[in-house]
Amino acid sequence: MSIEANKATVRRLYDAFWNAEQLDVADTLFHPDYVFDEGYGAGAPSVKAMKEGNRFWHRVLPDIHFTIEDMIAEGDTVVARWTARGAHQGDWEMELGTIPASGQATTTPGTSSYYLHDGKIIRDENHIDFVSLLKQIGARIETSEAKELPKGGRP
Amino acid sequence: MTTEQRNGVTGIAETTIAAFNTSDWAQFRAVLAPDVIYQETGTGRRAESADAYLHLVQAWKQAFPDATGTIRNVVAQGNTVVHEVEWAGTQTGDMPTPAGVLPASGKQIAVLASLWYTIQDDTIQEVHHHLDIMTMMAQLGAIPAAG
Repeated sequence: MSIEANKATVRRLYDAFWNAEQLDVADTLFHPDYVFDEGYGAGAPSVKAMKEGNRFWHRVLPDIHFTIEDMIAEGDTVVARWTARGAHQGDWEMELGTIPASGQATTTPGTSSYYLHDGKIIRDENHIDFVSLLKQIGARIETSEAKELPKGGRP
Repeated sequence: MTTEQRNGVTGIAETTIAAFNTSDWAQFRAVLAPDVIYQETGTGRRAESADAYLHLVQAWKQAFPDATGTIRNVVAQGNTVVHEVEWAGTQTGDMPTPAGVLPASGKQIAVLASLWYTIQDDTIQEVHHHLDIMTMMAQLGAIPAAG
């Protein structure tokens, strides 16, 4: 696939799948063997899990909106730098407990690398500023007694 | 983008990793614009000059004197280069974190990051460093590891 076609696929991921909550579009954008890694937190080794992740984040940040700040591509790799904005209006449930909805507006930067195969995303790697997000919603990161800390969840 | 153009911008970006690995700060500074902008997510730190950027980078080396970066993948288009990097090292120095200063732990880290470089006139104008601070803090024992 051309670089521009690959970039269009990734752009549609943000515009349709995330911002418009069109979950079924994932079936056309992701390869059946898709896996992803977002660093700290649980991974989602399937397209089904990716959809669950979408539902999760729209529960926690119902108006979540991704803005692509920059995107480049080379070969079958597309990398995007983005900003996610949304109000913390849903409880963030995690293994260590729950961060109740704070109502705080949040702005979270991140970057994602997408590897495509036959025009579909087969793997991605994400670096998300969870620290900033947690601080914005009032969670305290304590190094002595780590309490309000995420063990999962991802955009 | 011609091969020559690509090699030009990727070579400039790679210079910073090589210079960091050997603590060659003169080499590091040589490819920076004097008013380079550096943004580091996870820590929220920002620098708006080559001196300030170097200060932040050197602080990492003080916390992890044996730290090195390994470039896992390079993507380049136009005057933008993205590195996927793995940072590894041993924390033998105090490290400022969003939760306070972590005293030297003697523990090793291996964390992934992305660095976005904007290059113009053969110098780096802007860097966005997306660093997995949560994983780093977990590896240092400061917070629980992800389940």
